[in-house]
This record gives sequence, structure tokens and C-alpha cells, in this order.
Amino acid sequence: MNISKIANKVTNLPGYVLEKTANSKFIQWQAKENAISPVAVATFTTLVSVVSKDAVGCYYYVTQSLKNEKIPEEKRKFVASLDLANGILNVALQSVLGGAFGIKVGEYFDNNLSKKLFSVDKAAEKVKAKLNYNIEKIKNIKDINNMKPEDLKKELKKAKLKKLPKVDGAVISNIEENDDIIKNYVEKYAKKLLKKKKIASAGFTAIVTLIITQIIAKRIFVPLIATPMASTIKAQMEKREAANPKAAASASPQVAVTKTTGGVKESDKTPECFKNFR
Amino acid sequence: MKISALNESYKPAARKANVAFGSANTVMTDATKKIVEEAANVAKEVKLGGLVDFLEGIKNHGEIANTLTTALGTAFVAPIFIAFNPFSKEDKDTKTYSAMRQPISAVITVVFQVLVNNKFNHWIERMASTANESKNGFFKKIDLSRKPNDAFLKADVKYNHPSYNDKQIRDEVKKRQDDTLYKSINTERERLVNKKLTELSDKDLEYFDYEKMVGTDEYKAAHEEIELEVKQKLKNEGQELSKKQLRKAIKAAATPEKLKERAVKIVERRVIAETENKLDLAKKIKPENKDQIIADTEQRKSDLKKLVEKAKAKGDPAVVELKERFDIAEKQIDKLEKYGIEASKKYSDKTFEEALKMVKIKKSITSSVKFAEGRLSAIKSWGGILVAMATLPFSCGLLNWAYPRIMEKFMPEVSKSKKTKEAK
Repeated sequence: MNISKIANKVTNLPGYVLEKTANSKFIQWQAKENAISPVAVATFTTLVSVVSKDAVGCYYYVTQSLKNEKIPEEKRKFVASLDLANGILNVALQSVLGGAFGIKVGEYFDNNLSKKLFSVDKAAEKVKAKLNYNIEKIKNIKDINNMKPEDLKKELKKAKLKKLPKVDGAVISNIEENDDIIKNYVEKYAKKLLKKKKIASAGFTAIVTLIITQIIAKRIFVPLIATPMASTIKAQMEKREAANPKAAASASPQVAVTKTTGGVKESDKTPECFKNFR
Repeated sequence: MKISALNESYKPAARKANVAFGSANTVMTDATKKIVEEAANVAKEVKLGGLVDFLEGIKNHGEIANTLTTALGTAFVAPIFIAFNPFSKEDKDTKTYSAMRQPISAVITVVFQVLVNNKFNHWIERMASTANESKNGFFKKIDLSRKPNDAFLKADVKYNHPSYNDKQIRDEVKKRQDDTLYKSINTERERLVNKKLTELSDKDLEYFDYEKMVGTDEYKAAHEEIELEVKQKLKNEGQELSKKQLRKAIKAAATPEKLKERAVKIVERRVIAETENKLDLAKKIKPENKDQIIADTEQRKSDLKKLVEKAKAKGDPAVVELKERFDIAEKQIDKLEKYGIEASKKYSDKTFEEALKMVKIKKSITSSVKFAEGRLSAIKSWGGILVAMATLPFSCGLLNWAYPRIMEKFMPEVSKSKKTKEAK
């Protein structure tokens, strides 16, 4: 095989991988589900993303602890089990909370928030307000019909208008009377907005799920639960050590307490970046 | 309600010129016309939903939103809980040292993951939008060359016209998308010009292949129809199920075979309805009666809307079909307003069969594009997760290198005391 052939294969690789992925059953399933229930898909992908990162982080913690020669052999399992407990707590709490609230949040959005956000009446109000505003502005410009174009431009700039509204002062009172017509037009342009209803619902679910898992579960609950849990495990380990003094003597004292969870204090055994995933 | 009954209900109504909306149009004064014109302009201009745009952004850039929220927690919430953790008995310097690590790691993670994710998204969007130029025939399943991706075009327009403002960019993107789409539709129509409707194979009309229907509007409509039917059946039987049971029942009813059958039916129904509408319009339309046709269509639209709402309240599966009719009426008005009578000229000398063929070809292409968009978005969201994971070793290395140095430079006392403590 000559070099150009190899180079060709290498440059083709991303395309090949992508084509295979696009054909995969998983992507097919995802595209199908996304069409029917985007909220569920958004919750699912968000959870998989955050939980898998935590799981990978936890794996690194545990393997690093087990391989770390700075920690005496007897302590390694203890430190690693703490890492594991922390990881499991993170994964479990995030999955449970995210899974429990995800769909409910979507339902809440559909039943309450979306009615406010996607209200055609409100949009019509907005348009009417803008119409009124535009009309009021040109009302103050005197002699608008006989003005030179450059002067008109200046006046409009003063009034902070980009262009001259097509409605003249005489029909202001008609805005209220033409409610239905205006609403009809607004509805037409609001349709694009209405199409986004499901997508917005999915986006809302995703962001709330993220706040629940990443901020409340991971940063508030897990540290609070993990710290007393760590103390319990530590106390149990010390009990065992007391029953087996040989092992206790060989362990250096400061390593035994190097690790408390929640990022309070951590030994330098773990790469910094994975501490980010706690 | 059956559609035939619906037809009966709207036709006489349209003839009566003095009913609600019709009257407004027929006796429209100049002043009212101006108001309507301006209302349409303002409606186009007024931004109807800032929050909605934000939420759409979250959905479309899921992985970036994930990274940013996680970073927000790491940078602002974690330090507080580290510094004020009631269970922690560490000294103040150790706490500060640990707490300071969080924002630094958050910044590094955000820079790496957002950058890489952005690049990945741009790459895949470009590949999809230029799939027709791919020498190896890859990217067929996400081929968007017939309607290039928004973000891809936006970047291109920005690069070529740096002086454009946001609106100009948006308009240019839309124009280019439409141009490309209609060009490919016309090319396809020319390619198939000698074939009769009955001679068109599945290959010619790729959309009418079920696999490609998955995720499109018709597929969604088929699902909605089945869902409504299940609900109505349960209601008739007097059964009340929990939400979970209902979801299960719907899932059981919506088998792939049934969905396929329904989706095909809906596609056929839609193309026929659209063709009828187009021919009807082409026959009727003359420059002087454009306004009257718009008024009639508006009337039909508002009647249909009432029927849709009624059916919706009852949970009647016919709502899907009624909605289609409503959409078609609306599209008709849109087109008339946008292109005047030009759009209908194309169909004025066509037989039903020829017109149906034209509509089918268009449907085939627009729906293939939708299908590709669905796949692209799925690949983007899962690819994003993998790509973000792949950056971990690099951001990790950088953090290990940078963090002690930053601390030593900006908070030497904390860093020093931590060191001496460790040395003990």
C-alpha cells in the first residue's frame, strides 16, 4: 500500500465513522423518539451526559487510588472505597432526581409556563403596543407630509424610528376596532413561535434537570451526605485497625485522613481535572 | 367530523360575504388596510419570544449547556459549600486552597469543552451542508446540501459580508436556503419530466420509503392520530388509566407497522389535498380577485380553526386531518401575499396527474431534508458527549500544570501554608 492510499484512508475515516453512526440503530431510534417526545429525549441525553462524566471521573478516582504508591497498601482499598462511594452517590442521586423530575418538569412547562409564553393574545398586545408607540411618535412630527426627505430622516432619527410607519395619525382610534385583524396577523407570525413549543419544553426540561443534578444534587446534597458517610466508613476502618494493630502501625497517620469528600480536602493522588467531576 | 361534512360547512360560509372576517376584508377602508399592513410589518419585527429562543438554544446545543451549567455549579456553588461545610474540620487555609481550585477548573473545562464542541458542531454542519461535494459519497444520511444548515450559512454570510447587520444576515441565510431548495426541486422535476406519475419508483420519490418517514411531520401526525384514538377508545370504554399506563398503552398501539401504514396514508392525503388546492387556486386566480381569494381563504381558515378547537376539546382523532387543512389554507394565503399570483401560474395549465407529480417531488425533497436534519441533531447531541469526554485528559493536564502556579502567584500565603502542612 502506498502512502497516498494510506493518507486517503485516514482522511476518509471521519466520514466513514459518521456514515456508520448515522446508519446505526441507536441514532435511528434517537431521531424517531425525538420527533415524538423531545422532552423525554432531552432529559435522557442530559442525564446520560452528566452521569457518564461522573462515572468516568469516579473510575479514574478509584483506579488512581488503587495504583497510588504513596498510599500504604492497607489504606488503598479504604481510600478507593471512599472514591467509589462518592461516585456511586453522585451517579445514583443524579439519576434518581433527574429521572424523577425530568418528565414532571416537562409536564409543568406544558400546563403552566407554555400557556404564558406561547399566548397569541399576549403577542397581539405586544404588537399593538408597538403600533401605538410608532403612531404616537410620528404624531409629534409636524407637517410630515410636506417634509423634505433629508429632514424627515433626521426627524425619524430623533424619534428613534428606522422608517416611517405606514399608518397616519388619523387612524389611531382604529387599532382597537381592528383587534381581530391584528390578532389574525399576529397569529400568523406567532405560528413560527408555536412550532417551537415542544422544543422549548425540551430545553426547559434540560436546563431544570441540569440545575437539579449539577447544582443541587452534586454540589449540595452529595457533599453533605458524603461527609458523614465518609466519617462512618473511617470509624469502621479504625475499629478494624484496632483489632489488627500490625496493619495500623505500618500505615502513616496523615494518609489515613487525606481524603474527605465534597472537595473539602483531597490528597494529590488524583489528577486535578477529575476533582472537577465530583 | 368527516372532511366531506367539513367541506359543506365552509363553502356556503365563504360565499356569505358579510360574515365576520370576510366582511372586514370586503368592506375594508383604506385606513383599515393601512392598519393591517402595518400590523403585519410590526408582527414580523416584534420579537415574540426571547425566552423561547433561549430554550431553543439549550435544546439545540445540549452539550454546551451541560458544560456551562456544570461549570456554574463548580465555580460558584462548590466553593461556598467547601468553605462553609459544617462537617469539615479543616483549617481555613486548606479550605481556601480547595475552594479556589473549583473556579479555575471550571474555567479550564469550559474553555476546552465549549471550544471542542463548537468546532465539532461546525465541522459536522459543514460536512452535512456540503455532502454533495463529498467524493466518497459519505454523509448521505445527513445530506443537507439541498437545504444547507442555518449555522453553516450564517457563518459563511458573516465571512463574506462582514458589514451586514443581524437582519440582513438572517434574510440572506433564508434566501440562500430557499434558493438552494427550490433549485434542487426544479432540477428533480426536470430530471423526471418524461416519466409519468405511475412510472415513478421508490427511488425517484425517496421520501415515500418508510424508513425516511421516521421523525418527519407525517410520522408525528400518525403518532398523534394513534394516540388520540387510544385515548378515545379508553374514554368510550370508561377506563381511566394512570399517565404511565396510558404511555404504555399508546406505545403498544403504535407499532412500527401501524405507524407506517398511517404515515403513508397521511402523506398521500396531504399531497392530494395540496394538489387540489393548488389547482383550484390556479384556476380561480386573476390579478383583480386576489384580495377576494385571500378573504375567502381567511374565512375558511377561521372556520377550520373553530372546528380544530372543537375536535381538540373532544379529543377527536379527526383533529389531525383538520389541522392539515388549516395549514394548507394558511400556506395558500402566505404564498399569495408573498409571491402574488406568480406562484399559481406554474399550475395553471397542468392536469391533476401532472400537478400531483410536481407536488410529490417537492414533498419528497423537503421531507428528505427534514429526515437528514433529525439525524444530524441526534448525531450532534451524542457526538457532543463523546467529544467532551475526549477533552478530559487534555483539560486535566492543563489544570495540573496551571493550578499550583496560579495559586503561588496570586495567593502565595495560602499556597505556602498548605505546602508546609503537607511537608510536616
